[in-house]
Amino acid sequence: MMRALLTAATGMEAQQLTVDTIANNLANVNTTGFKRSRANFHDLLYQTVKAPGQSTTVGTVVPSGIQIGAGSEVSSVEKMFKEGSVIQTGKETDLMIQGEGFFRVQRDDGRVAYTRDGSFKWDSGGRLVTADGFPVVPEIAIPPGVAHNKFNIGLDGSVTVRVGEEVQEIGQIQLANFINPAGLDSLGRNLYGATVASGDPAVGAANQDGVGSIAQRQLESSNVNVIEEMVNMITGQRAYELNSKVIQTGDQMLQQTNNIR
Amino acid sequence: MLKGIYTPLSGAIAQERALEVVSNNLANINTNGFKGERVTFTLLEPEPNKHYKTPLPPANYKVPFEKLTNARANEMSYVGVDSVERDLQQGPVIKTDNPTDLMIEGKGYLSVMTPEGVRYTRDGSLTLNAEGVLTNKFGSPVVGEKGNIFLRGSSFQVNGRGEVYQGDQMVDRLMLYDFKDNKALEKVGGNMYFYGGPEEGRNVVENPQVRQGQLEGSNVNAIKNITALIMTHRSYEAYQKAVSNFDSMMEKSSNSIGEIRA
Repeated sequence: MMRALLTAATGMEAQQLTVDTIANNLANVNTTGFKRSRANFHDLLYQTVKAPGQSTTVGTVVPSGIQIGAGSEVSSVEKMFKEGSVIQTGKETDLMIQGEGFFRVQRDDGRVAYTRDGSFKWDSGGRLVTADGFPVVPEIAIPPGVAHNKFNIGLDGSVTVRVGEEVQEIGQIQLANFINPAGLDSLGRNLYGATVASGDPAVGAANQDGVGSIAQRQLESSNVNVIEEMVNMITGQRAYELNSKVIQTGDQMLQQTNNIR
Repeated sequence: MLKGIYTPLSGAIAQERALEVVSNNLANINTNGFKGERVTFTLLEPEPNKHYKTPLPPANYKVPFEKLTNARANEMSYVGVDSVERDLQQGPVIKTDNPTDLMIEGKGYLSVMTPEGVRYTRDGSLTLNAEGVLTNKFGSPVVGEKGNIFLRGSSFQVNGRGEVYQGDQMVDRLMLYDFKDNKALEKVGGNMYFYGGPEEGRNVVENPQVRQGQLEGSNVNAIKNITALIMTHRSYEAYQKAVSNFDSMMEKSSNSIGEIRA
């Protein structure tokens, strides 16, 4: 059967994944700390009918050979860690990382996950937790009897509270940084998990060793750019269409062959 | 049998190959650094079969038969695919602002060290592995002047000359290669090329033009390829018409000429 049909099918499949990726990006256009993904493609193996540089029967050398490609495939769907824009919220527990780095939170299974979403809250035990109730690591707990709005977080992540006239440090928010953030595993709920590809996290105070600083009363918006996504969607859809035309043509050619007799 | 039927058949087979190339182009219309291809056709003239006797001229015929016509009955021309030519034009610029995205402007290929050996690529969508080595999307390290390029995190700069800086410190310089004969580069998939030609045909690019935060898109032109698709389709149709004409001619000779009428 005609190979062109299968080749075009790989193209359609790849473009479908582009549209899938864009759909997820657009669905998260207002998700705090969300990082957009991008699908990357590569060409598939080639069938070498005649290799370039091979000598022919007449003693000459083939100047340019015949290589027939088999289509395209997705090589990766990569997170783009460009910083999102700042949203001023005025809420004490809203934190934003300006620069590189991730907040560390403990999931319910005990493992540490990483997030850029700094919309934290206090839980009933006075601990600083994510919207899903995962506590920040190391634990930041406000001492009993201290008003919840009387606390302050410095650029380096040091948490202080005012007890009467006295300023008291109750903890330090630590940030993790990765050599290759694109290699992190997206766990959903704005969380990421470390993988072999991302490397081990380098944990430390904020605002040093290339790690970003912490800004209080601000949130990082999604880094999805709607126009960019729309343009990508158009190119994805049209490429899909072009590949479907190839299938149509291949089909018609086969039909003609069947109608020779 | 009318042997002419094989000539349009060879054309139809060649057009099928052309369709395969067009479909590969269109499947890769969004593949970074992809270079479109085009099929060229050639006349295939098989050598006359020596065992096939030239028909004898009629008995009283004085002029040798070969002199009257140089076309022997078994001398048939066919069409075949000559080569698949690569269009080396620069693809469009895609601005991504991603530090690990590099675009090569003008000539040159990045070299990557795959487990199978050195391969060359125009696809600059790179990444870092867990050790901080700059690699392509398959995890094969990009070759710099000092070998692998080690980086501490994704905050690094690549200047126009392909020098990789982290802070004020120059880490390494990208090795870009250029080839005297680009046709000697064989596509191996994964946006990579294999070079099996002579060593002197491979040069280091003296003045590379590297752009960080940009990617080179596929240079496949949708209009050209759709036009090629239509042409392929219609020529295939024409060849098939010729095949079916030969078929009806043969039908005539076998059924009508020898028809016995009462």
